[in-house]
Order: sequence, then structure tokens, then C-alpha cells
Amino acid sequence: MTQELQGSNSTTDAPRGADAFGQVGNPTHKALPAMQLPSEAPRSRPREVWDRFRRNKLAMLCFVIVAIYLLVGMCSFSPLFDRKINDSLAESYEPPAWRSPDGHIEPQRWLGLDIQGRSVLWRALYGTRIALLITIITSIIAISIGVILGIVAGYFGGWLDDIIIWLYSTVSSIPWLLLVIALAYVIQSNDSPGFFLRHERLQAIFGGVTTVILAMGLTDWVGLCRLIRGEVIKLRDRDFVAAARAMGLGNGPILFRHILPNTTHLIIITFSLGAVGYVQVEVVLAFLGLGITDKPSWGRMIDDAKLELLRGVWWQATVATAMIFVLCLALNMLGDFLRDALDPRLRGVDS
Amino acid sequence: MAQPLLELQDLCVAFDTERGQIHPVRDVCLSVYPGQTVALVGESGCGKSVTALSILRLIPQPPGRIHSGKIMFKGRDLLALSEKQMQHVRGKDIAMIFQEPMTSLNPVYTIGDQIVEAVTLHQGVGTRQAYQIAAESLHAVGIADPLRRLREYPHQLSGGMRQRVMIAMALSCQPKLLIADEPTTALDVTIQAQILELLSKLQRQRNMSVLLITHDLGVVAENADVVAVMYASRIVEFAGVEELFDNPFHPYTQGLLRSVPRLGAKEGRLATIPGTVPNPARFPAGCKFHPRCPVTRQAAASAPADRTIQVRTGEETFPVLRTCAVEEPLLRQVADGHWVACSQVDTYAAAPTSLPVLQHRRQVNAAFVDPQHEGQPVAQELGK
Amino acid sequence: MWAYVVRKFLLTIPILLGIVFLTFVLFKYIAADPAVAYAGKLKSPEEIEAIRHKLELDKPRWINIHEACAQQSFWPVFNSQFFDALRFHYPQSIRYQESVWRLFARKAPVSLAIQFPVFIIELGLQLAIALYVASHRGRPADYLATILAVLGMSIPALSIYMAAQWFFGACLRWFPVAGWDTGFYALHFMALPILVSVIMGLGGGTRFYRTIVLEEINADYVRTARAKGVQRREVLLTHVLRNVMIPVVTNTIVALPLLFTGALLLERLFQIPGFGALLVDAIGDQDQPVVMALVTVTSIIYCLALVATDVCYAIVDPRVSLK
Repeated sequence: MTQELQGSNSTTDAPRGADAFGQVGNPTHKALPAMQLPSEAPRSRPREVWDRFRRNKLAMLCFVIVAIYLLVGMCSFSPLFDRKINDSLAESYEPPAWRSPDGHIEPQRWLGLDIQGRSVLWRALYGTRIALLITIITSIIAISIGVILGIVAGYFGGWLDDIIIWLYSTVSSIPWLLLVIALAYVIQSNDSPGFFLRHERLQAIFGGVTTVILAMGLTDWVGLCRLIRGEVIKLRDRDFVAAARAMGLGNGPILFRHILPNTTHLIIITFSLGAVGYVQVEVVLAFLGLGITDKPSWGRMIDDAKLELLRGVWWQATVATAMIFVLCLALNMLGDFLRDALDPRLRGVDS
Repeated sequence: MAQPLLELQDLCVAFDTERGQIHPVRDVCLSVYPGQTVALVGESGCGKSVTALSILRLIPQPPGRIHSGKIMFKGRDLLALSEKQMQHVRGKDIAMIFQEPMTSLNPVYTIGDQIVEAVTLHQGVGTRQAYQIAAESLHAVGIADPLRRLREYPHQLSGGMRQRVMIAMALSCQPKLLIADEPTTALDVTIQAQILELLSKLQRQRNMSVLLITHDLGVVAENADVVAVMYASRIVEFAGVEELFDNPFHPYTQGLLRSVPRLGAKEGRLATIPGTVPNPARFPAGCKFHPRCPVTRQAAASAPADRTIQVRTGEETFPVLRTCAVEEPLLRQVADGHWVACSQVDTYAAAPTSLPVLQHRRQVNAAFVDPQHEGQPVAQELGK
Repeated sequence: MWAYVVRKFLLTIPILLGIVFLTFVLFKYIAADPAVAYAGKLKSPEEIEAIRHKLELDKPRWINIHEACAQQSFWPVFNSQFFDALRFHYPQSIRYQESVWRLFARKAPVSLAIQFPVFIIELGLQLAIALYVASHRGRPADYLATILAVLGMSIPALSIYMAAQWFFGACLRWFPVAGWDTGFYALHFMALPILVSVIMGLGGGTRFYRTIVLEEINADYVRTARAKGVQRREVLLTHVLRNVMIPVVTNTIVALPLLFTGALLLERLFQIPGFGALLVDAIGDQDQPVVMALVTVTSIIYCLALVATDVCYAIVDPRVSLK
């Protein structure tokens, strides 16, 4: 796509052979569209990540899947769901079918009916709500603790750092699953009124999810704490922090405006990959009887299906497994993609 | 006329990245004669290391591959050899040393183990004899107490010593050609001088050729016989070292030489070449240097309109010669022993295209000539 | 070297104390009164007292901290009980009526019988696959392995166990669905759990080792070795593997204590009377002493394994000096 230049200055011939630095001609010319050379302007990081994201079809697919789950989860807060999960349509198990016995097409039968004749479809969709609550709230708790402790330990150092190191070494010495089970057990065994007041109030709002959320949230902060502490230690010696301090900024603003934003990539990646763990552990807790007891969750559906499977009743377990599987797969791949995109070490490949 | 030891003929290497195919090496023509030191100069990212790695066919195959061209070594095309045959070439006929001696040595094995590995592979001797040979090579590179050093690990040595070990390892099987990829970039200046001197001495002793890859013009001036300047994956100038420093033709080479600071110079500001090296994924059309080339801008300012064309970089728009922006110039001989790839060189139109096969060797100070090798063609000058 | 070991151990003591303290507080202070828990919520206080007396929980060894607070004797009680915890004096298991240690001794070998073969087979397969896949990076085998690994990590373990039970046990009838026997006959019951465990665990480990191997394969010394003329396979097995061993060893040692806990789900589902099943049952039965003892002991062994990892790291990696 080249265009001719219309008219130009005529000047004397430039001397040949001599090097011509500093003597770049300055012709006046009309501002016609010229041949565009590839631009080398640097792009900002969010923009870069977004570009990579758009190019990677798989990552987009995973994001869409997660978004769908999110949407369904939010819809499931409506009272319609509360009704539908308890509606008993038949005596007992019914395999998946297009139509009801009287011939209508009933969506709620498409995934079969469970032991009490309730629609597996509605229960599985309701499970999204539980999964949503679990992943988001547990992540909030775990990430908050991890970030706060990590930043404090990394930034202030000294005895504060020692204590926090001791704390997370101790907690991480207990295998995580074991710790979650222990905590869940302890929380659940303790429902004497007046003791765990918070537990009571939260109970009204969230249902039996509290145990699971607290058990996982209060224990999973160690990984993130370590990561953030390491990153903050690296950051606090950087020049831009010294410059900020020289400008007169106090510790608070420095932490919030300079250090914290530089750790967001760790937080995002941890969130994405942590959510997978929470969903999986919920299944284990359900199996042990420590999970959610009153409302249907995917873990409970699988657990209930334990004995059904050998009798040939496959649909409840399969549906719940599929819901978990697709979500975890999407989150895993999204997390991998985010890690590749946000890791500062891996960047610079195509710049 | 003697045959070149190594000859790259129109070598092209391609990499498949997620942004499409890029070519870090395009139509590279180079020749190395026995006993000669050829310097391959260029900025970071111009493709010199990839060229070196492709000689030994060490380019990682899934993203990269050798697209076309020939690599003639002692009359055989290395690209036509099987992997097994190639393994006999690596280490034995052609050896390579790298930039970072710390990471280039395996941290979990001793120095001795690693040198012995090379020796037993190519010389078919027993382990004890191999250790002897290893100790001798360490001695030849100037490491004291070689027997003790053989039992040490890489992290126990200093940077300069590690590079000496690398050289010892590379030379333990008496290769004919040594490829040195920025061997001194990671070292202190004083150590740099020692290593380069060591390399020269060993080269003269064994009549070995060296392909020296560097971005440091000072190193080139001191050590090279022949220089190839690379820009944007191609050789743009190829000449004997004195010829190049006295008479640079290509505007890029002129820019490079101008930007070397000189003692006693009174310039207030360090001259640089404006602009940046182009991204291989997005090369401009025509001569890759034209966006930064002062010669073509100057010529365009006084050329008739139909011979110029406007180009726009990020910041400014300016005219350049049409030929420079549209056609990529080939390497052509402009003087005896001097090739340039630039369309604005005067004698260009008259000269034919030919492969640069310069046998020039710089005149070596008589004091350094090793009396044992008096009969060897160490100092030879090819016209001037 | 022993000075290093001793120093490391000494540095770990505060953490060990921390573990004991944490579990102690967790189970004694935050958890419910074990008698109440065991009895159920609906019994009257007298019945609870009776149960407590019957289970000998009212001896000074195990007193409800809430009551101790009420009686203004918190600190003496706390100290004595914590001291007990430090000396690993746990009360008897409520359900089995025997000391927790004897229980452990009975159940641990069963868990080991399954977990040890699984561990060995898994490690071998994971390393082999990781080495193969990393050296064929970008080729179909690599993608296949990655996909399978991610699949394996996304399906809940429970589902895979159940599916395997159904498929191999009920459909194909190759193995019994669940159960256990003593002596030689146990092999019959071990096969399916081992098979399923290996398949389950293959994914995550392979992915991890693949990352490590890839890092090493792209290292500079591999390039040097190849430039010396060493064959690809030789480079892999001599240079890369030796460097990969460092993280492998450290990873492995840390996994060893977890062999004892067995896989909780696995043992419960396959009716294997091992350590993990003990924990699961204890939780179900509200058998607090067992749960507490189990968690504490496992954590301490795990912590010691971490220390052992550090020491082994120093032995295996010549760059790390034992100072």
C-alpha cells in the first residue's frame, strides 16, 4: 500500500559517502497517507493480557463456561429453585426421559429422578449455587488472610515476620485435607447455642455451607501467604518504593497503591486454581458427612449415589460428576492460561 | 586457492511462533578458512546466535527448523547428514562454547566428569586415560592444579575459570572449528582480555578456526581476521577487519563504528543510531535498515518524487528512496575482499553477486608467532 | 553434616510445639465436649454425666474446658492437659476401648500394604511419562498426556473410585468390589484399589514432573552436552534425570508420611480397614481422642519429613552446602 509523494523540495544533492547523521532532510510535503511501518509502541499489561486472551480460543471457551456457571448460580438464588428441588415427582428412581408418563415433554425429567423422586436437573442446577458460594466466599476469606499476613510479613520484617513464618509453617505442617477435615469436624460437632454465635447467624443466611466455607477458608491461606511474602520482599527493595518513601508517602499508601497492585497477578491465579480445590474438597467432606446436609450439593449427590451405582442407577452420580468436571476443567485451563499470561518471567517472548 | 573449512550458503532458519513464522536467519552467506578468526557482529536479536546453533543443528526442532540453504563443512553438507553422523561432528570436528559458563555446565557433575564425557565419546579411550587427557586440557587453558580441579563442581569456580573449563572441554577433542558465542560478555573486562588471549594462543597452536560471535567491536578489532556484520537476520557487510574499520560502506556499520566511544574525543554526546532494531515478527519491506538509515533519507531529500516514497514510523513521517523501501539488497562485492548489501553503494551496480569467501588473515605481530609452528600459514594478507 | 541435621531439627521444635498446641486448642477448646458429642444432642445432663463416667472421661485427664472455666480453674487445667498432650498421652478410643497407639499399630500396616505399591508404581510411571513427554514437546503425545492429566485432576476422586468399582467389580467382575482379608488372600482385594489409585494419581504428578523436566531440558548445560556430541537419549538419562532427581527426591520424601494416612476415601469405599478408614469412622462416631491423636501424629511426622527433605536436598544437590 504505497502512495506517491506529490511534489517535494528540490535541494542540492546531498554529499555521498560522508556519513549523514544529524542531517536528516526536512522536506515539506502534504500529509498524504504514507507507508505505515509496524509500530513498536509498548502496550500496557492488561491490554496485552486481553490480546493474548482474544487470540486463544480455548481460553475464551473456558471463560464462557465459567461465566455460564456463574450466571446459573446467581439465578439459583430465586425461590423457584427452593421449591423445585423438593418437589417429588414420583415414588423413587426414574431414569432420564424426554417425557413424563402422561406424554408431556418435561425438562425436569431429562436427567432423571433421584431416590425421592426429585428432579436431578433442578438439584444439579441448585448445586451451582452452593459451588458459587463455596468458591467465592472461601476464596475471599483465604485470600484476605493470605494477603494481609503475606504483606505484613514481607514488608515489615523483623519479629512480625518471624511470627507469621512460624504460624504458616505450623499450619502447613498439617496436610491440608486433614486440617480441613479436622476443622470441619470441630465446627460441626459444636452446635451448642451460645458458643459459636456467629455460626448461628450465618447459619440462617447460608445454610450448612458455613462449616465447609470456614473449614476451607481458614486453612487455605498458607500458599498465597508464602507467595505474597516472597513477592513483597522483592518489591520493597525496588527503587519505586524508595522513591515513594522519599516523596513522603507513609507505609499505608505505599502498601495500597504501590505494593498491592503488583501482587494482583498472584491473587488472580491463586483464585482460579484454588476454586478447583474447594469444589473437589467439598465432595470429600460430603462423603465424610461433614459437608452440607440440608440442601443438595454436587458432593452430596455423588455421595448419595454411592450405593445406587451398583444397582444400576447411574444418572445422579454422572450428572453431578459432569457438572464438577466441566467447571474444574475450565477453571484449570483458565488458571494455566492466566499463569502463562501474567507471569512476568514468561513475558517478553513476543515483544 | 584453499578450500573454506566452513561455508554457509544462503542459510535460512524459520521459527513457528504463535504470531506466525519468523525468520531469525535469512540468506546468510559466510565462510571460514582454516586458521582464520571470523567475527559475527550485530546487536542483540539480529540472529547471530541462531546462526551459530544451526551450524551444529542444535535449534530446538518443534518451534524451529532449518528452512533452506547449505552448511558445507570440509566439503560435506551438514544439513544432509543423519543425526548419528552429526553427533560425530559435534564436539569432535566443530566445538562450541557459550555465553554463560555457570549455567552451561551441569551443576551436579564434577568438572572432570563433564570433560571426560566428551573425551570418551570421541576418542574411545578408557576412563583413566580420559582423566589424564582432561587434566592436560585444563593445564593447556592455564588452570593450576588440574587434578584437584577435576574433582570440583562448577559452582566452586569463578566465572573466568568456568569459561576456561568450557574452553578446555571444547578443545579436548581437537576440533577444527570453534564456535564461540559471546564467550566473554558475562565476564569482567580484565578476565575478558585473558580469555581472548588464551583463545588466540590456542588457535595459533592448533591452527584452529574460530567463529567469534560478539556485539563488542573492541573485541572484534583485537581478535578477528574477518568480520561479518549482521542486521535483521542477514549479513549486511563482510570484509577483512582493517578494511572494515577503515572503510565501512554500509550505513549500519558506519553507525556502529561511530557509536564506539573514543578516548580523548571531545563529543559532548554519544552518537547513536536513531530508532530500534526491528521485531523479526514485523520486518519492514525492502532493506530492513531503511527506517533508520541516514543515507537513504539524505538521498530522498534531493531525489525526484518518483524515486522516493514516504514511510511512517511511530513518531514521524519522512521520505526515503523507493529502492530502499521496496527491494532488499543482496550482498555484493564492492572492493577486493569487501562485500556489502546496500543499494546506495557507488560501485554496487558494477559488481556481481558472489558468496563472500575471504581468506584474509590479519598480520600477526612477529613476537607472538609460535616458533614451533613456523611453517604454518599463520600470517597471510590477501592484497590490500 | 550431623550438626546441620541437629540444627535443622532444633529450628523445627517451635513448629512441632505449634502443631501440638494448635491441635490441642482445636480439639479441646473449640470442639464440643466429647461425651456430649458421643451421646448425641438429646440426652439430658444426667445421662451425659453417666456416659462421661462410663467412658472415664471425667477423670482429670480429659475435662471439659468450659466447665473448667466456669470453675475458675482454667489455667491449672489447661496446663495439665497441655502437658499431657505434649507427652502424647491420649485417652482411650471411645469406640474401641483401647489405646490409640495400639489401634494405629493395627491399622497402619494395612494402609501401607496398599499405599506403598501405589507409590512405587506411580513414581516410576510418572517419571517415565514425564521424561518421554517433555522430550517430545509439542508433539501429539505431549498434548495427549497433558489433556489426560488435566482431565484426571478435574474429576472428583470419589466419582472415579465409584466408577471403577462399578466397572471392574460389578460389570467385568475381575475384582471384588470391596472388602479385605488377611495374609495372602489380601492380594485379591488389593488389586482394584491399587489400580484405581495409580490411575487417579498419575495425572497430577506427571504434570508436575513434566514441568520440572521441561525446565531442565531447556537449560544451558543440555545445550552444551549436545554440542559435545552426546546423544539425545543419553542427555536425557544422564544429565537431565540427575538434575530432575533433586526436586523428585524432595517431593517424594514429603509424600511418604502421607502413605500412612492412606487415602481416606479409598479405604472407606473399598472397605479396607486401614489408617484412613480409622479416621473416617472416628469422625462418624465422634471418637474425639482418636481424631485428635491421628491428626497430631500425622502432622508431626509430616513436619519431620519436611526436615528430612531439607537434609536430603543438601545431600543430593552439590550446590547446597551443609552449613
